Amino acid sequence: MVVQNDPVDIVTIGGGMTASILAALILPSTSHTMVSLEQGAARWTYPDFAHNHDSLRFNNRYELMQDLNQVSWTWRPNENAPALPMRQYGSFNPGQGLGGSMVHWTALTWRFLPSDFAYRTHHIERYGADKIPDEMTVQDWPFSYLDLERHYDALEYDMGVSGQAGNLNGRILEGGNPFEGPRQRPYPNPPLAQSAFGNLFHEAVQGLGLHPFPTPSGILSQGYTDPFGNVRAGCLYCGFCTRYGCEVGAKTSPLTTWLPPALDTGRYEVRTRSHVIGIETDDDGRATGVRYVNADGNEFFQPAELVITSAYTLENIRNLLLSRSKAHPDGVGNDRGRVGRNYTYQLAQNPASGLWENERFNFYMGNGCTIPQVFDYNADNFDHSDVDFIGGARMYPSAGQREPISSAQNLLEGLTDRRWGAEWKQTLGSSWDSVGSIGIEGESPAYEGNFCDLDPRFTDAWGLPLLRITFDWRENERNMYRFLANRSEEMIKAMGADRTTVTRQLAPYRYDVYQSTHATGGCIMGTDPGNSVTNGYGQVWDTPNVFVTGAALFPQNPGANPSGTVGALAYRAAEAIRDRYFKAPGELLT
Amino acid sequence: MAEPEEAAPPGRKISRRAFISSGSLFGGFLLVQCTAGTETRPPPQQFLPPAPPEQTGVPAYRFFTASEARTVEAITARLIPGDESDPGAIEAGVPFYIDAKLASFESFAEPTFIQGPFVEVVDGGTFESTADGDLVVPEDQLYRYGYQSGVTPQTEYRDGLQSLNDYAVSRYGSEFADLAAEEQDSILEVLDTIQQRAEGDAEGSEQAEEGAATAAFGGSGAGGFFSTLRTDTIEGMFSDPLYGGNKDLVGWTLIGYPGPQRAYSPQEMLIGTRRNPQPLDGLTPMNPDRHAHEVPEALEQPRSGVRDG
Ligand SMILES: Cc1cc2nc3c(=O)[nH]c(=O)nc-3n(C[C@H](O)[C@H](O)[C@H](O)COP(=O)(O)OP(=O)(O)OC[C@H]3O[C@@H](n4cnc5c(N)ncnc54)[C@H](O)[C@@H]3O)c2cc1C
Ligand code: SF4
Repeated sequence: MVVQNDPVDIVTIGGGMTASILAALILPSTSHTMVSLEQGAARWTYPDFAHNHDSLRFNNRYELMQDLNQVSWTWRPNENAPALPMRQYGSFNPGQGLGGSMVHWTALTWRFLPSDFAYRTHHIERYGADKIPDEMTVQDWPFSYLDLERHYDALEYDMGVSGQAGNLNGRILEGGNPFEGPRQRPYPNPPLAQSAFGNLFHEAVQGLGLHPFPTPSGILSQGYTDPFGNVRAGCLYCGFCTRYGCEVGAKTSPLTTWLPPALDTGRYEVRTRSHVIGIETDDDGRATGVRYVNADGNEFFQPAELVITSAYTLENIRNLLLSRSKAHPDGVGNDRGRVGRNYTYQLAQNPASGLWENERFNFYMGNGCTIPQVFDYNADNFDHSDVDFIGGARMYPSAGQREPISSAQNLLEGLTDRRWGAEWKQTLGSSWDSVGSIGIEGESPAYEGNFCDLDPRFTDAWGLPLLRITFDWRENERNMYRFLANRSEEMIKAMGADRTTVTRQLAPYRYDVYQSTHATGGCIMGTDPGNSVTNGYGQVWDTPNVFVTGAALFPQNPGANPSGTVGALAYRAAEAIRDRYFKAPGELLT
Repeated sequence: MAEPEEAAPPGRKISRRAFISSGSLFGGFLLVQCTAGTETRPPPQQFLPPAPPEQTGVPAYRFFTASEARTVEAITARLIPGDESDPGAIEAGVPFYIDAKLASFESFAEPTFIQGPFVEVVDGGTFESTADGDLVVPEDQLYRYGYQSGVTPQTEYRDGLQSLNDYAVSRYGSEFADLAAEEQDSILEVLDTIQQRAEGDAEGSEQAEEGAATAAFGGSGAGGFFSTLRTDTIEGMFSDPLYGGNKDLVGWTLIGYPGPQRAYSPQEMLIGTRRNPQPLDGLTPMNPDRHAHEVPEALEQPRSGVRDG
């Protein structure tokens, strides 16, 4: 028997980053009611994260991640290959629980570059249409950087982002990212303290004529009271950051920022341990609410005027595909077969490593943001006329938070003959804190052959098909990687490493090695239903009382972490829903 | 391949994933799954560290038989050799760590998707040459998918230790634990090479010894077993003593890691710290200076409005 709940104005699938942003921005100034259904448990900064510096538990046994016993995602490199499930964590680590993945994120908080938004037009204008390979299905975003600027600005002040502005209203500022788009205000907080290895990188790449700048970070460099009135402490550089909840709330997450003002209204509820199994639609194809199962296995129907899927990229795609009905035989949003298209990822690699004999860098302190970054080889910040690819990557030195277990596994790769035994042990003992590398986080263009659909074979704990990912790197990325590996080598040499090792070729994509939780695309936004699933607000073209949030909306993935833009898009959608949607519910916003 | 999101260790992450053997059944199919383990990962006790293992003087093995324990001790002693002045896996108690891990979980310690079907692996061929719609993967592509076997760690150890001894006897006439250190190393090298070859990393063509080891292991996977052993040994050497290994913090002392600390100053990030290594239970309580009457907002949130469905 399905229990019918009382209707609410808004229901979200998932209680993570974007759901909490919508609640905090829509509810306080309106009288709307909202429920978020979150499959994971509740957890709070205190006391849940008070004693969590246990790397085996959180890093190696994935305490905060989605439970693979219940749901996974299958992958195949191409359409000829069979797809197999991620049986244990590899390529990406989506989180679950109150606050979602952002509770355990690394907190690099980027704005995308103006050229990222006009991607196709920009490349054609500068290099001609031939520069874009035929199989590449990259396209422009449905609005420009300038349209999103004020949402980036609001997000950064609500999060208390720490960083150094590089372009203030068109004025290029020393020490910031000279390639960023113009911003109306500086960051609300100064940059985080920098690490020893970061400083070495900074000086070396400056000597190469590049432009290093401190990582913009969603971690507070000092105490901060945000515009909602949340009082928060600065970072302790504790070294247990990514994959852990922050024990002082210095790392921005829904717990520190958006949940308090949303819950304060009394009109928001997060229903934890509640797993959504589908969006229901009526005969006209309009969404009526969602079905979910609680921890006791009881099934409920939650009616709502507006259904928002905010369940992270992969589950957002799957939620739409699973919601099949007479009105939407191939799933909500999929009347034209666009759901799952333009699935993209992130080219995250460490091409060059070095060993500095007799140096110690204290890599186990700090976090993923206590380092500088370089954007000189990202996007179209350098001339691509004479190279055989488009795109680029942000480049950076090894960050902090080195943990003993996972680092011992692979730190000496390429530096010792064997990965065990007396010589390995001796080298590990003398060099554990003396080995560092150059990382790249590169663009992932969209291709016809990279996409997601429902798996024909594997099902989850509720008997529903898993999402199937078809994805591999292409020629453009291999060429881009080769170029960036050479740049990485120049950097590591300029940093004076005693020994270096360089991986020159990009290996085929593998599902078992962590690269990043930056799965993007699959429910992309665009200018019309022929090229996209949603409009520029994440509103689904064929079912306008359903919205999608998150990186699933990106037409292709730039060379930077997604969440600054994920957040800004959620601010944009929240404003439109709050001020306009309910005046004509179910109408497409223009 | 890690980015700063991972602890940013450079270089290739060699996965510990269990792979099936290569080269044993020429042109034939090999079923990867042996037993479909019943997955009963206990519901996580959110964020509270597990109770320390009971201290009853000399630790006793809970999962391994005496003869299995002898083999595991011999293997880990070669993976991270040591003596009293320069402690290694034995001095750290790594075999007890592994034993506790296998005894504490009915199957996997980490989240694992265990539903079938399981893949079949074909020796040679390409994706294009395998029958359309079948769940068949060419053996040289399997590593890209990660762990796919469905064999529980308990079974993998039971069978793997037996196979390792079978191989040791066939090659040197004695069980692994009774061999000279160089002989033990050459056995482990063979398994390591099999694993690296499965990931496309080994140089040269397959040696006869690899074929012999593969045959001894049958479908349970010589390379995968080596990978599991190595990962578990590293976990036992470098995880908190709470879990039974890293005794007297010898693993952390080896690499110069001070264990979990509450905080570092920007100055310490530049010049290092003089703190003594401490285990998790030496960590100071959070916010010792937090007064009952002043509750920082980010720590004490309004909890009303959040409840289980
Ligand atoms: C280890 C790690 C490090 C990261 N570091 C960075 C970084 O440095 N910079 C950056 O920009 N980004 C980073 N990210 C990415 C960032 O966390 C995400 O982009 C962001 O959290 C996405 O927000 P979201 O609202 O789309 O999804 P989430 O915040 O993940 O929320 C989705 C929620 O939906 C729930 N859910 C899913 N399916 C269902 C269902 N069927 N029923 C009920 N609930 C469901 C999930 O449990 C989850 O809580 C990182 C991610 C990870 C995992
Ligand atoms: S490094 Fe800073 S932000 Fe990260 S968990 Fe520690 S105190 Fe929090």
